[in-house]
Amino acid sequence: MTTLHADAGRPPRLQRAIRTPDGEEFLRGLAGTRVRQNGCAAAAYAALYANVDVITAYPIRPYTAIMMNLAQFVADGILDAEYIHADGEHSQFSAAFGAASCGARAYTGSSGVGVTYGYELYSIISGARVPVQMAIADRTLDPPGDFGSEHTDALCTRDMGWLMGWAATPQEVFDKSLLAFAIGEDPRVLLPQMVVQDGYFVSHIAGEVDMPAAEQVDEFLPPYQLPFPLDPRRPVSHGPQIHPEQGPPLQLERARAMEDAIPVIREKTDEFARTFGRKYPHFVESYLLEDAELAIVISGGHAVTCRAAINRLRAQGIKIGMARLLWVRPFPSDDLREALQGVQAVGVVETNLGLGGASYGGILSADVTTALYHLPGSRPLVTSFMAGLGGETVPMAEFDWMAGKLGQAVERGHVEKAAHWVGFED
Amino acid sequence: MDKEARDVSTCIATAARKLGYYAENVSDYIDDPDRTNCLVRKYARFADEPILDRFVYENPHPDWVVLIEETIIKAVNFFRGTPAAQGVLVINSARDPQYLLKFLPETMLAKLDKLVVVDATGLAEQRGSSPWMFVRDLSELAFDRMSTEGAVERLAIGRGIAAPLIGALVAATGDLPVPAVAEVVADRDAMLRGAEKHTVTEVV
Amino acid sequence: MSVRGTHVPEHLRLPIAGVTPPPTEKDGQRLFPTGNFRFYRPVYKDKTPPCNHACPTGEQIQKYLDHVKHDRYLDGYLTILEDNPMPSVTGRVCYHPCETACNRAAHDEPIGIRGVERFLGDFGLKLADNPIKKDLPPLNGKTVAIVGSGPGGLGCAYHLRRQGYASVIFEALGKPGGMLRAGIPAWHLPEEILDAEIAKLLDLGGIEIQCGVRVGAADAELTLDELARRYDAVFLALGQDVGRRLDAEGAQARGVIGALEFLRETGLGRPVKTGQNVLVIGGGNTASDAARSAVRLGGETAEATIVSLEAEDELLIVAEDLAQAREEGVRFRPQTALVRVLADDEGDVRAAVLGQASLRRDEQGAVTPQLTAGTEVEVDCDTILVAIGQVQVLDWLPAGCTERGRLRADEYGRIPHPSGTVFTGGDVMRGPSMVVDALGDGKRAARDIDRVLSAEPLRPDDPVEVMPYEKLNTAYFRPAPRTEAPLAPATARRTSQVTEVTLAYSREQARAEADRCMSCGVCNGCDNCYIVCPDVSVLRDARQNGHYSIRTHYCKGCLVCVQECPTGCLERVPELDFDEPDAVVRMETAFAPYDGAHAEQAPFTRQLIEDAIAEYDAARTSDRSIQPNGPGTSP
Repeated sequence: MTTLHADAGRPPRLQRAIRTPDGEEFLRGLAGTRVRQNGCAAAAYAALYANVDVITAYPIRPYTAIMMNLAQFVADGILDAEYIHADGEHSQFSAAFGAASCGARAYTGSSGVGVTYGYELYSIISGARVPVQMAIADRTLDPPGDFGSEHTDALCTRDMGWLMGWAATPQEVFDKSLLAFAIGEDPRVLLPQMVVQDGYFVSHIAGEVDMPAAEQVDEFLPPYQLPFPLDPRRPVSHGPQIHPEQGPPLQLERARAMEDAIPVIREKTDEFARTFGRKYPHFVESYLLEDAELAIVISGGHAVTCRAAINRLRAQGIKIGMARLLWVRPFPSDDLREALQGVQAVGVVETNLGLGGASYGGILSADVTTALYHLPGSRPLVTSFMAGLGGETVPMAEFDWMAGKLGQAVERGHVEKAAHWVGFED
Repeated sequence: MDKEARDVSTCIATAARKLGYYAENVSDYIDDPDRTNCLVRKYARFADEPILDRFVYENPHPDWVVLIEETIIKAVNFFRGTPAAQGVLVINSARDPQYLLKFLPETMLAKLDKLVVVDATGLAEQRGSSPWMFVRDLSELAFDRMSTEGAVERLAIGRGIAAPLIGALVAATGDLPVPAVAEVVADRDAMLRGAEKHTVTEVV
Repeated sequence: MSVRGTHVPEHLRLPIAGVTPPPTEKDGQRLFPTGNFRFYRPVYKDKTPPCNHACPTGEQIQKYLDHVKHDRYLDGYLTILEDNPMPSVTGRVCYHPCETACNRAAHDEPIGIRGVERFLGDFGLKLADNPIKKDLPPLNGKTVAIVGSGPGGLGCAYHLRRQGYASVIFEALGKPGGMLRAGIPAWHLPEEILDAEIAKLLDLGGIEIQCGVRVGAADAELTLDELARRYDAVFLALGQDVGRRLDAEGAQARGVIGALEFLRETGLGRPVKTGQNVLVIGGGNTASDAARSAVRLGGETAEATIVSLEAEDELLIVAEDLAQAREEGVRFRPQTALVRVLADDEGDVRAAVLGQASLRRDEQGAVTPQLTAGTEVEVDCDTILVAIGQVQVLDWLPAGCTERGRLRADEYGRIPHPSGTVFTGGDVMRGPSMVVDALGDGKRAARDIDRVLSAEPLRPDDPVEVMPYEKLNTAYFRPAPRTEAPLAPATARRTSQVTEVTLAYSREQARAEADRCMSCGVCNGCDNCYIVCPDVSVLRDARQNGHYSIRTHYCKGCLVCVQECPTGCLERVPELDFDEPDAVVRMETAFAPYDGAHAEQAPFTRQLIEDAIAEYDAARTSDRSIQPNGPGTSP
């Protein structure tokens, strides 16, 4: 457990955003209902339930609808929050950071090149241990202009020390947002979180979302309390200049924070299930992997199609299953190893670009391969599949093709190559 | 017209869902919602089994095509992938159906089963006038744009030109009962007017 | 390597970095024929400018103003000559219904069209050769008889000659010109100008004027039937050069002169002596011309007073003439009638009794003054000029052809004569009208004579759409005041019967006035549509007076061009009002990607990277030795 500023004393109580009467009434009307809404609306509703204090916004497709919905809540008096429209993503994230440093629950977000625009802030925010939440509806990075979903925008910040995971449905977006606040704000963690959803496929296509009662959320998510906020009544320094010799201990502390997040994630996920009745696996959704010979490792919305494809393949007698990563940071090596126990060939679906990496394909397979390298006993064959790039759909037929390749690899005894480009090969 | 198209697809899917079908509806993501006077597309589909390829949204084999504005008939091949002689085309127009058919080449006529022509602009609730078609007032247009970006619908679903179009589509195809669909359309009266006053031209 | 064994399908291949042809290039548009998205398409459709429409002889005023704008004086002159053979005349005397109709009046002030026409007419008179002469068709052997060498007769002869017909003009007076010589004073229309215009006309060949021949005189052999028999057709342009007589007590005194007769004698070079104290009875342009001639003839101390039944604001005198008259010292007694003329013992006029009166008309439209009793006053005068209306002697014409002192004609100007080839026009048909009315009648008669002689049916003109001010985009026209034609100083004018009152525009002034023309409804190549089109879809191809075409397979119908067209010659047409369904270019792209073919790629962009590589290779093979820059580690 990390010790933090033990001599800072009790932090003073701050004036926090209240639930307005209109807001209370609105949430009462929603409690217990099932609403059909897309991922953007779900994220906005989660922020409403979480009663965020400060929202910083800058428009970019596809996440922009989240901020549109929130703006309407604030304008209608349903949400009492400070809504700041920044002049760019860099300022947007800086403002969220500043607000959170003072003890406000800060909510921000972006997509695509907006995510990379404010890149400077990621290490700063996570290093300062300020638990800002960033809602990302992912988008292909330029060039050229492409709205479609790719995971590269969020994934390319994976080393910056944020908690990061993809939600596959609007319900999961809602739930994960609340869960991420709870985990990130926990004083044992104090890390910022990126709650990511596939642009368009999850952000713009509606699904059923069960709405809780405000009281349930309040029970699950206590008010945000930074142990060492910026406050003139109790001055502290954040992020001063240091000597190089102080560097390694601080970096070690940051690395520990990531590892310390793992048990907290398990704890909070279980608590979530108790409070709301929806049970999520801690890190890895294991689908039909018990007796699987082949496995697809995937993250995000395309897992929905993958499940349907796997059902169909199973009906044809192919022993295939799916491991869906609910969290990519911290990377769940143990849980993944456990899920893939006994599998002979693993295909990592890469809806992202890791140019020049070891696989000359995507990003995730490096983490997956490293995790599986340390499996006791025989390791499965690992390959990866570049699919869904540019925001293209990954239809069931492509999953069939992937299964075929995995089967051939098992027969052959080795993979054809480290990364296959689905749709461009025979 | 973005809102009108969206309303048609939303109402069909919502009604289908209420009747127990599995239904999806979505806007085409590639069509920039900032577009003015350019082609934008919305999709809906319903089936009695779960829709497995959930994210294949462009409806590659459309059975029904609804044109909110009549000149689109000459714009694109909207029947690509439609099985031969099974396509239903609903078009908002006051022109003679035989004149409209002239704009379809042989390849598209081969896909067409029925041409449904409804003067939705005339049958819709008349609200003000504008030199440009289908624009209500600017604040309403702003809300339309928000919804095309993925924000929650602020305006009622199924008003204006969309209502008679839905009526004509449902009445002409017969797969969904008109009263059931009427329940989810905001301007019920206009929808029923469209269900009543349209022409159906069977293509042999 | 992971890209081993991959291949990109042909239709998805893009050159490096996704470079595509720009939309300004042909291939860039071919990829996305977005013309199919249109609801409306813009079409160029010229409408009739109000000036053209108002001109009784149908001059293409907008067109010649445009020519003057661009210093194309010869083209401007030729444009006028298509409808009017004597622009130097009309440019001085016309009452310019074009200026009254000019849309610029609603913007700031109407264009000084008459002044520009005069500028072009005078330019034309200075040309060594008549530019239309070489293009005239040969004479076709037919000859038309024209009675009267005023503007109607001369105009008819001109237009007939342009169609190959010869004509013989019978003129009763000793010199040709009709009212132009014998009605309009020389300070308004100099004799030498009139002579030059007539000479230019005769120079075309095929036109003969016989002066001193009065058709229909009691002893003449030329009757109407005789003319119709001898000639292929007849045009009667008799005018109305007989003044109405004054019906008042004492009107037979010496010194009571008809104003028309006075102006005629003056115009023929036989000036009538007028006194120092002239009364002019009448409220129209003839009265004004007569009064102003009288002050010139009478010398510095002469006075002229216009006595009219009309109130001051009812006077039928053209505004600029009224202002000029006032400057020259002409006085006015409106709402006054002449009751009695008083003569001295020798029978010369010495005074007139005037009384207040107002203008009334009876059921037939004839003037009946209403005298106010007890307002009589005696006024000294030594000359009374009578300008109370014009008539014509028509007793030699068949009875059925006349009606209330004018010739009866159908809508084509044809009088009911058994030959079917007798036409008329001008004052004798219309009543007192303008010179340009007669010119127009002559032009139409020439066309209709040709139709009759070619056994073609006579038909009315096609209806035109006149361009109203409201439909222009006036934001593009800066306010600019009208340049008034300069006037000779009033003192100089009074002293001479031949000093021109209205002077010419200079070249700069003519151009400045022409530049104010808004080209209502007619494309003049201003390039606005070309500039504002966001889709590079306005093509400047045939640039004769600025014609454009629309790149219909790319234009998306935003209609900014229609909105920003200053002249209103661009209109929108519903897209499905379409004549050729087969000509539709359909977009096959951006639908159902699983069927392939999102967009074809143009060959030239594919070539770009290959060309660049070839160029680089070629540069490297040229002889250039590499200089080492110092001792490094040797192998």
